[in-house]
Amino acid sequence: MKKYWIKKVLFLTILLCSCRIDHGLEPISSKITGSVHFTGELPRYTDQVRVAAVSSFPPKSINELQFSDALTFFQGNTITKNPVEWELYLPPGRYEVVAVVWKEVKHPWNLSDIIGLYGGSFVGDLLIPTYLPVTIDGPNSVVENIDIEANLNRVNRDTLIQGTITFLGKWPENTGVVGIGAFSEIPQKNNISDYFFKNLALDYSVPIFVKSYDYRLRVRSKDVLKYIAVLWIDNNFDLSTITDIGFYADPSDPLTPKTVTVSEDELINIDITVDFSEL
Amino acid sequence: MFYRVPKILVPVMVLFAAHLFSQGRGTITGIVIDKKTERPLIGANVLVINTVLGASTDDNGNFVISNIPPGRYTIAVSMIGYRTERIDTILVRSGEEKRVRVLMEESVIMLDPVVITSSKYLHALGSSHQSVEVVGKLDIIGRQSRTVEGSLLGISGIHFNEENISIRGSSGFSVYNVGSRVLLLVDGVAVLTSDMAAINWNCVPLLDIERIEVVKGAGSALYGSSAMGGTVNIITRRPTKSGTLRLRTVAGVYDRPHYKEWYWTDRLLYYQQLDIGYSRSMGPVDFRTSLSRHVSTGYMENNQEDMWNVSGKLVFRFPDHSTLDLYAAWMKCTRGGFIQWINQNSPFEVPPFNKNDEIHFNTLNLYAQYRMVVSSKLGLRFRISSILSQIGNQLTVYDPGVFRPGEGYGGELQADWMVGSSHFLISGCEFRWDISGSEYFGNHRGYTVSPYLQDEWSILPNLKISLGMRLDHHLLIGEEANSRLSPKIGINYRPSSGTTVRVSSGSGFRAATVFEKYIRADYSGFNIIPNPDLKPEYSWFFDFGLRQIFMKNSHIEFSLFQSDYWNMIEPVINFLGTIQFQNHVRARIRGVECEIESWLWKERIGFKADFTWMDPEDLYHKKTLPYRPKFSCNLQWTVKSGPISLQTEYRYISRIEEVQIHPLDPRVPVKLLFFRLRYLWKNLTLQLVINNALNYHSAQIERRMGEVRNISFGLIAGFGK
Repeated sequence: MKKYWIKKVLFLTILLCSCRIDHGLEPISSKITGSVHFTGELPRYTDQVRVAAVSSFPPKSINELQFSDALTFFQGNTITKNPVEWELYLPPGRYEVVAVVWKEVKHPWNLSDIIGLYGGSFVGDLLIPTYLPVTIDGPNSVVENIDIEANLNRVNRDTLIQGTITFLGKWPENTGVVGIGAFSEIPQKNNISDYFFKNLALDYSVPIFVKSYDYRLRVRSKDVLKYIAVLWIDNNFDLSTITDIGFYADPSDPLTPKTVTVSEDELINIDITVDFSEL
Repeated sequence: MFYRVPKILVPVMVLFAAHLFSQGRGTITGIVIDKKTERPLIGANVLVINTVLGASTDDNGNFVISNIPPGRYTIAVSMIGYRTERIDTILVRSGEEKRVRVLMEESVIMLDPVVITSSKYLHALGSSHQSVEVVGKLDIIGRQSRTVEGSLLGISGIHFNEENISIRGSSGFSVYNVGSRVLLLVDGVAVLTSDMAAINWNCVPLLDIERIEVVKGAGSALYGSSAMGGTVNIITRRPTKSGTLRLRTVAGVYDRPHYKEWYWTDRLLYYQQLDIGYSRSMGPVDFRTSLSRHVSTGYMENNQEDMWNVSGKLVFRFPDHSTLDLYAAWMKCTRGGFIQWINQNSPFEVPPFNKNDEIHFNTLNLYAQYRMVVSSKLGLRFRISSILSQIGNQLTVYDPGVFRPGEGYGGELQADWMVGSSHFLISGCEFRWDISGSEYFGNHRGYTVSPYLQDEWSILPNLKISLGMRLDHHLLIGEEANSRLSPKIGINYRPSSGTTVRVSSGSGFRAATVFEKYIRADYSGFNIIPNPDLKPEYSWFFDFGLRQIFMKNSHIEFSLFQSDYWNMIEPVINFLGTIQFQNHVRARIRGVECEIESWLWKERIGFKADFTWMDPEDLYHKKTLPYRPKFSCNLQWTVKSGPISLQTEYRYISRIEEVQIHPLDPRVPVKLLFFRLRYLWKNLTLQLVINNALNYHSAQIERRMGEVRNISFGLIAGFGK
């Protein structure tokens, strides 16, 4: 009888010891590494620059981006290390875009402030939106040599334009995001890459369901802004719904966008009217 | 012809009416004693059923209820830790004193305690038409909670996302608990902050608490804005008559994380808490005071906390049995501002730019409450209150002086009137004046006037219908006024002794806070923008429940619930990380809840289990509402042998399906195991508690790791009667 109980206790002890205890979340071992080579001039209001990866592009949110630590390549206004090495711990999977993203001091991350793409290239300061996916196979995989060129001139905005956006009519119930953007050329309808990579400045923090808003948009003094537009995205934040709902027009011809040459023109009272009843 | 009555004479006339009513009345006196030890019980609640009359026992276990019209009465006697006793057919004659002796049987389970929150008057839990849970002071001590929210974790259907309480899925996550859909009351007085309508869980020292009542489902028909998902009412202890000193101290240490890669410091991480309370009586004045101090290093970087809490209560007892309660509680807390981890390989560390962030809270909560019994059928309650609260955070650190205290001043008059033998009318009017200011959301003032009426209609001795409504007229100065009528209906049916069937349905609403409407700030990488056109949100709820008491020591409760929400105010984050509070969501939350508790073998072995399943659905976007788990359960076993008891608890919360900030982050369910060992020796209680015994790691809110394994030792001592 005694032996029977000893056997039973031993069996239960072995069983308990052989059970793997679940500890929930775990550290990540898999990662991608590489270097970033910077060109252009470091903007004086730079807060940080990081490498970011996203599994599908365009992302629904800035928070779908997985960020590396801030790249330590500058001190004050001086670039101290170029190129700079980086590493980014990521769970296994396919990452469609790996990009270098710039952030302004005291401002949130802005998806349009991408200064380099893995697989991308530049014509002047204009980023050509081609990109290469990266795949991490297993829990301990390390993918190396993800080297990226980043052009800081893309975000070196030294002045600003300002004006008032007036909203007329009833706001669409499904409004999610409204922004203001300045473009080097008129983006093609439904071409998300045009909206993202051909803009010279883009600010999506315009409040919604309001009657008017006084905006200030940082631009570069050498820019020629051929199209300044108010952009709308639905409340599912589906970027394919991006639409121009109003633009800065020539007063003599309200249907034609007016060009602003930053170095020559007056940069205030760049007012835009959005009439929802006419959309 | 009518003559104007000078206002000063009104209270005099009321008191004169009270004197007239008291002619030719009888008295019930008695003693309440422990059945086993035959010791008198102090602080037991004695209620005369179907009247507004009641009393508490004094230091010798005695009570006196006078001013009772001749007739037959039933009294109910309840006390935490004892089974509720009822004494039927007490015959009271004119001018006569009837004396009763009540023997109370000790019980670890409160099967039918007296509650107040669901109907604004004292009644037995079994006759409530809404789902009500009670957490007694013994539960709070037994869990070795350091906070009020820690005391509520064992209640079915309650879920916490950081400090955001969600009752049956009512709330998700909002930074600083802004716009709570659960109303917090202290002794029936609303204590949500004026600017954010946020709950400050530390506003009351733990030793002050007699019990906490939780009403599940909308309570706006009685309490107005914010009581959408439910109401939590902290009932503070009444002072004792002879000098009593209570002491409680808890000291604990945090373990390291399970994975070596996550070790981040060699420092000893600990917490300690000291609570002292003293209470006594001086003639017709009873007083109680408490002091609480909590210090913690936290289990993460920049997660430290330093809190002071002081409170005092004065109770004036007048010869006509009316009472005046004065209460004050002050709290000061400084906490590290851990917002998000660096990354999943350093989950206990904050990014460099958050390392010095701090959050400061200051609150001062005051109220004066006068209760008078005009007759056995009419009771009045007058209340004035104020809550001052100030929050500061890293915004303040970078830019001092940007927040001013939110000020909320309120008043209430309530009349409880027994009409005939079958109607109990509760009517009143509440007023609140709110002032708030900040450079981030501007300066705002507003007021709310809210008359309310409720009829508890006893159609049959075992069937009661409750009908009620409240009109809230709210005006934020400079804006359009809005009014909201919140009706409710409830049915309570007791087909047999121990069985309760309840059905309730009603409306809830919440006015948008000035924070939600006007905030404009950059917060840890997020840009928060205003929405001045935000409308109030409202809901309609339905609740069906069945409660069965069996074998004297066991009960089972089953509930079906559904809440529909319109104009639901939720923080919406766009793809750039910009946050705005919006009205867009039309939501429905429905679910099932089951709770069973049983004590066997002379209450030596106890078992408690509860399960909640719900479907929180965003009907507009056709997806699950964020930060709401679909399934949760608690399993608890207790073994008692003489002075020793051992309790084991396992808590499971299913993986959160929908989050808003970092949707691609890995998420896991919550699986927590607790051990609690208690030893009673004379007037001392010694406790050893292991929280999160398996050192399980989960993040209910993205990038904020839950508490690691910690072991604490507690000592509770009481001196005096």
